[in-house]
Amino acid sequence: MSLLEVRDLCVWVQTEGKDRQVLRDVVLSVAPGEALGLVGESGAGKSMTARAVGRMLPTGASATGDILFDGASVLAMTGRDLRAFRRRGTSFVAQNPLSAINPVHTIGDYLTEPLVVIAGMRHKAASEAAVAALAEVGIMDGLRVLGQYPHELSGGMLQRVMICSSLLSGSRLIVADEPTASLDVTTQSQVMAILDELRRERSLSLLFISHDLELAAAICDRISVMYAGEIVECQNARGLQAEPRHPYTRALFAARPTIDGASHRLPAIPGRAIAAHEAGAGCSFANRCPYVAPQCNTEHPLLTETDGGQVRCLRAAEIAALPLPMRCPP
Amino acid sequence: MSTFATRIQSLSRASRYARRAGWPAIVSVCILLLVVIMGLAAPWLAPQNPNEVDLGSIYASPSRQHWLGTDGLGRDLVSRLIWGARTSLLGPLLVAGAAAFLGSAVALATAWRRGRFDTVTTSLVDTMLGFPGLLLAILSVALFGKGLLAPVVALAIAYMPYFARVTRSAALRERSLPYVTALTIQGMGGLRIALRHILPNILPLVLAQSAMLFAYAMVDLAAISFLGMGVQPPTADWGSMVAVGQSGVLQGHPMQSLTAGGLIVVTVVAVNIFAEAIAGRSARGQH
Repeated sequence: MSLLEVRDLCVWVQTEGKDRQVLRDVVLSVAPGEALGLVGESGAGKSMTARAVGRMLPTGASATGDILFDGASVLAMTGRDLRAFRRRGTSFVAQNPLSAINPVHTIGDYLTEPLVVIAGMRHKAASEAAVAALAEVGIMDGLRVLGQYPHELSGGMLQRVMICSSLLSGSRLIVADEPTASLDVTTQSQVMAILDELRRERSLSLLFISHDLELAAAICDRISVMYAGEIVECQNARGLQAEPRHPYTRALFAARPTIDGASHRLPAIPGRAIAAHEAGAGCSFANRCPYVAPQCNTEHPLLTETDGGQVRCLRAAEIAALPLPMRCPP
Repeated sequence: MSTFATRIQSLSRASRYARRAGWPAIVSVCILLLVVIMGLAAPWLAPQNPNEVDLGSIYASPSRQHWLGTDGLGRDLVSRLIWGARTSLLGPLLVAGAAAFLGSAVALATAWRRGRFDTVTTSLVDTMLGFPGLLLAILSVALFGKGLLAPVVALAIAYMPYFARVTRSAALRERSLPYVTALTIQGMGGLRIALRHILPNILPLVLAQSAMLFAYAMVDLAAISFLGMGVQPPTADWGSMVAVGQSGVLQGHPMQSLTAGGLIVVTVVAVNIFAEAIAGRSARGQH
């Protein structure tokens, strides 16, 4: 059974007095110990999905569908249950750690407060646990760091502190929303290595949100691709790289730069990414798709099972037979 | 050795704050310290008993015995001014403290809960804004009798809405920051987040506002004393000294009203400058 299961999640948010749909029938599942990558462009609905999982939708938002955590419906939770789920079920690693930590308290306060308040530990024991956990994320002088304020630490250090905090919470699911977006590449790889290693060691589940397809493919078991508020494809990471089935995924892979040293002009996907509420009756990718057929503009494709994954494309079977788009035209 | 080093460090930090705050802030802090010491050490500082009547030397001119002269009952002015610092500072302190406490509580609660609770409470508070504080104080004196307590309670209630409004907007801004979301998602309770996380972040604003309220309360309490409804004679109080001094002014002995009024003005200005310095510091602190 999956630890986290999102079924047909639709979310509307209020903007300028109008309800606008931002998520359309999102389907996800994360098994215990599994890492699921959720990739897509800005505005595709990745972060909104993460917020829905933590029941942190903006005010005025409404949701249908279901989010099951360990069999219990997160959307239906109230009061005590919701708090228990947030305390021990999931933990979030935010995109910008500096803004996600209260600036007036020390790192020690940040790390030990949940232990003292939620787990009922004594301050001294909590500090010791924090120092031990900091050592696990590669911060060896934990005692000194505990006395420091967030602004005194670098972005990479802070992100490790955040990961450390998720470890301390004992959550079974870590939701990491672009955890390395504000870090430079070297720090990024260190932080990702730490996150990946600790997750495997403790067989935690991870919902990893990123716009970096390669990064997601490197650390996740399976990857779901989002476009315009819906999941367009889901496959295991290796399969997705070898055989992307949805035209959008294929185009994304074609648009990556290579590391073979040669620099070519990268093929771009024509047009712009549309928002979920702009999507018409047909396929949301139809206006940018190189394989578009007449029925694509009228018929909305369903997320259909294929071998080892799901894809939302009317012509998936035909397209799979075509060669991949040229990555680097000569 | 290390304590010495840290002391040097804290000294240099204090001087750095002082330099950044500018000389008006330093002067005002010094004045406030003087006035506070005056009130606290009144029994030792006052040269004479402030309530000792000496009908033989009414409206005496400044002399070696009475540095600022005497009032209409022959009481030593210096002693009365020094003792007067007590009630004159205690009243505003209570008003500012109570208004800050109530106001912050309302502000945090409304900013945290939002929704209908916020709408209802905020409209109630706004309605209270329309009620003049001085009138409320006079009503409260009529109900509870003269003295320090009735006007203090009334003014605290009257000032609370001003405090709550400004603090609420700051709390709302703070509440929308990611770290509050992060705390919620860790499963922290609302009360804890509001008190331990949001409040410290808006504390500079709370302090600056309290200082400003202190100055307002001082003027208003002086006015209430002047009207004869505040602190009752023979207790020394700057506001009532100004009032009692009126008859002296008419007879050509303005010293009592002038000195007491002057102390009120100087203290209020000092508090205002101090408040502005805190507010400025907190504004600079927010990038």
